[in-house]
Amino acid sequence: MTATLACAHCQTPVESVASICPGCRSPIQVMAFPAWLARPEIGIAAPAMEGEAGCFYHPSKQAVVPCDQCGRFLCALCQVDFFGENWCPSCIEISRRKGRLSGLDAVRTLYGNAALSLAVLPLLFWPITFMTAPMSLYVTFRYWSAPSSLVRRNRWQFYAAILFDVVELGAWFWLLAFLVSRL
Amino acid sequence: MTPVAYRRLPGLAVAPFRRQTLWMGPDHVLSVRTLPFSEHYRRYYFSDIQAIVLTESGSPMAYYLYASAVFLLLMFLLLGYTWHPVWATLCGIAGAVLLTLGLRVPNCACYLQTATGVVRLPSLGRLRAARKTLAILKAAIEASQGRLT
Repeated sequence: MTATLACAHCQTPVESVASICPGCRSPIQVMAFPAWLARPEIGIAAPAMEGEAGCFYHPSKQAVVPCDQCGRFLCALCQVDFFGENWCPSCIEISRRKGRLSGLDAVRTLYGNAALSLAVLPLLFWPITFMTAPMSLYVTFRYWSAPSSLVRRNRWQFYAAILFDVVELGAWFWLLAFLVSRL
Repeated sequence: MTPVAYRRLPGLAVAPFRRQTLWMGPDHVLSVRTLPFSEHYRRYYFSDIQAIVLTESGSPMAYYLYASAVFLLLMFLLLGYTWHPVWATLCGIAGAVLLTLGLRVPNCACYLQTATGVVRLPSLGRLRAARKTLAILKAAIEASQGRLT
């Protein structure tokens, strides 16, 4: 049984060769691929017979492959094909927690944007820049080598933040020196 | 893990403090939702994509914006001709803004179907960009899965 293709506008089911939606009469372009007709692969773990190795996580299931990271025996349910290797779910979770799978992150914090905002936005209310400029510098140097965007790997925000911070702190020092000299 | 090299695909959806773009990796397409201080990613592997459906949906809002822009640009010319520079400038700026907004109104919707569900690709809201992107994606998916016969 294949999944149904539907019009994006009115959700009416459409054929894979349709050019007009039968429901809303909107021009439609459907591109179906072989995965649409493929039956989903369901991992069926056979029970372990006497003398056979069992899965580490499900001892009653037959082990089919060892994990390429930790060596634990895995059944068909626990085996994960991970970039051409067999991994167990716990190895994936541990690697994700330790940041070794940074290329598979679902969320990344943009520290460069935070540092730049901390340097620029307080200029609207400039007296607080004596606090926010050092904070921006701290964020810049603390997170300089932290993973940034997956798709745009540049640090211009950090450089711009440093520039703004230096100018703001320089202005504060100049103001302080000026006031002290007037005393 | 070595960093994956991504190539930007045509199409962009912009909302206040949020933008969505599509990027193509070696074996997947990456949907990126950018907020002011974070980026959120979703990966759709070429081998998992079952279908892509593109529906044209002309919105009347675009025509209202175009009509208003044309009216304001005519006012700009008229006021400029009668030597009212301030009002002419204001009408010109407003007309240009409305024209830009009209060009950004989505005129199509694109959905991507996998075995786990159907997701909308907000960045493919303009027909021209959507067609360009889908041509690139179709070639990559067919290279991964083959053609449906």
